[in-house]
Amino acid sequence: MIAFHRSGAVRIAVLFLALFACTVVAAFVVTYTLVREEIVAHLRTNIMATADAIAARLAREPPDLALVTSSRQRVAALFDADGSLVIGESGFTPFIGWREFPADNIGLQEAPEYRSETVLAYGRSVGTRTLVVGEGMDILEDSREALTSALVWSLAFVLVAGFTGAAVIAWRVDRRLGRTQLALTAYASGEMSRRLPIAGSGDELDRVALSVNTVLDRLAALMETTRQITIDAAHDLKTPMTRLLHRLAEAEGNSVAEAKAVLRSAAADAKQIITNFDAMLRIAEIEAGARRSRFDLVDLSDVVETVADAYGPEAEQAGQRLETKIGPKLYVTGDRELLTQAFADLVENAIRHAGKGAAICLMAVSHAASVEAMVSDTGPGVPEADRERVLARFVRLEASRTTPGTGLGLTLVKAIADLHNARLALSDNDPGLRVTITFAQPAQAAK
Amino acid sequence: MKILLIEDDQPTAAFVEKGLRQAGHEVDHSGDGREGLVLATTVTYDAAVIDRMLPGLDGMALVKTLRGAGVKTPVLFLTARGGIDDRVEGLEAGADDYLGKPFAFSELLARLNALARRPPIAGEATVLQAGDLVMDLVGRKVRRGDQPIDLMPREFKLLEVLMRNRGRLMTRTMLLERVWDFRFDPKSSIVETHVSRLRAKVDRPFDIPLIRTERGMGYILDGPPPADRTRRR
Repeated sequence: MIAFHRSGAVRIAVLFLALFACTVVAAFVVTYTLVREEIVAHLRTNIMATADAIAARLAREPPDLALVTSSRQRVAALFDADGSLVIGESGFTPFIGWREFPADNIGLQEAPEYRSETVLAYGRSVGTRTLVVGEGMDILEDSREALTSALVWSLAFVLVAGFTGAAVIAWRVDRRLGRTQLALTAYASGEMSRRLPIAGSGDELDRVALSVNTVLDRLAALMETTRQITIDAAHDLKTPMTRLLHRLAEAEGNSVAEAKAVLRSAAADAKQIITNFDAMLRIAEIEAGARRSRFDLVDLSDVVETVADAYGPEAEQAGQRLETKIGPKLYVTGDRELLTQAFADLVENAIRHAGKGAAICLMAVSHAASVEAMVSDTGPGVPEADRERVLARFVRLEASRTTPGTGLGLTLVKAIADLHNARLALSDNDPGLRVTITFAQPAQAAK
Repeated sequence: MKILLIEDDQPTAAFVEKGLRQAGHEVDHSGDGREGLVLATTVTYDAAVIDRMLPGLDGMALVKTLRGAGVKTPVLFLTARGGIDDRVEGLEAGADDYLGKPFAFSELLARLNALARRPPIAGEATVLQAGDLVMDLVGRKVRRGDQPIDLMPREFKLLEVLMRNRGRLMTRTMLLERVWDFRFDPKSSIVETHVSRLRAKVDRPFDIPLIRTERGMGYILDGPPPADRTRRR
């Protein structure tokens, strides 16, 4: 059952209900005031007209005849100058102007169902005498009664409908949020595939649910990545660790000179392990995205030029040619250090895998909406089926198993590209591999 | 040199302290940030090696406090990992150089030497000289004896860094940082290749080699000792 006092929907509904009830009451008060004014004005006109008519007749007719009124609700009385009643209704007292009398003392000729409670009376002088004419106000009283009962019924309806509506809304919201809560609880307890229900109406709850689901997707992906990294790292590090252990065990039985040689290779093993760890930490740090806060306008031409310059002799020594086609002053928003590392890694990869006689090309060009940098080689390339896979951690293709490397190089490049919201694409250079990184043109004009 | 070492990890501290003493330096060691800060502010040191993570007072805060108090002792910051942000923040806090753990001792020593003997910024030389090798920084010209040497821009930069630090060991990573602005460890031997190209122009045509390789560590550029030179004349 819903806890009504804690339901926000109910609270809002009650508030609106109270507001609405007040409005209804106010509307009735205004209506009544206007109706009353209208009726009283109408009565006054009638009474005055009757009084004037009687006064005129008094000049020609005897008072008992003159005072006969046309309506049963209308009565008249004539008083002498000394205030004594000459003829007519004895409940009146002589006065000039307007006055209201309780109807009980006045003999109205009314049917019981139309009994007036009050009589509106008008007094005027006729010569030395005073004439008082009064009329029952039952029309006004009837209107008031009708309005009051209308008000009561309206209020009753508003309250019933309002409370029912509030309860329904509260129940529906509670049911939807309950399902949401259930899904979140399940998610929190490890059911990573659970998502918030979407009603499909596109309302605010749906929009929030969609956003939350995006967050949940991302969280699940991160969890999966973390799990995968842990497993991969454990596998990848187990091999050198085991080798290291074997070497050390072997050293124990050896002579000092031999042991020294073993220790040296053990140190090399340890160094390789540390290199792997460093690369992993760096990737993790880049993927965390905190570096973005340090982004600045970077001269990509200069970055690529520096890398080409650094690796030119290296490529030559490997019997390769390193060419550049770099447009001047191409700017991107990013981190210079990381971009340098990304291109250095790509060129190193090319030098290592392209083989003797290959041509390596470093390119950077500007388009209307993007800046494109490309590292291509004319080596054996990467089969299309493997292109996606080589970006994952620790993946090394069979062909390069024997060369040194961590299997993290391209993963790092991918992480750096992602950090820059740049697109990394591996394609066929026909022959060879072409790696293209496409950046968005920086928002502000270069320099 | 008198060096202050603030490092809480006992094996690392012992390793660094032993190495520094063997290299002929005097070492004060503290394993606590607050105690280290007191030492750094009360005793004059030629250089300080400060770990990023310390009990008592964090290394970053320590360096900031030190700089705030006007202590100008050169600081080498030790970061536990190749953390990029750690390094940038360390330099922003006021450290002069950084080194990611684990490190080779020779690297630490080379960096400390470079730090402690860093020449004053004022009075920047316009001509560098080592033996008969002369570098004109303004005209960007190099000659050895009477013979002009034609260098590529990057070779010039490499030679300039070596000459500015003449007589001092420049490690591979130091050269990567200062010549190419590479702050990561490339797998290839680009430093070796470039140095060998430079040697081909600067040393090979002449009798006396100026660039010396320290095996597994780095390079030293130095003129021949004075006695040598007089004998040649």
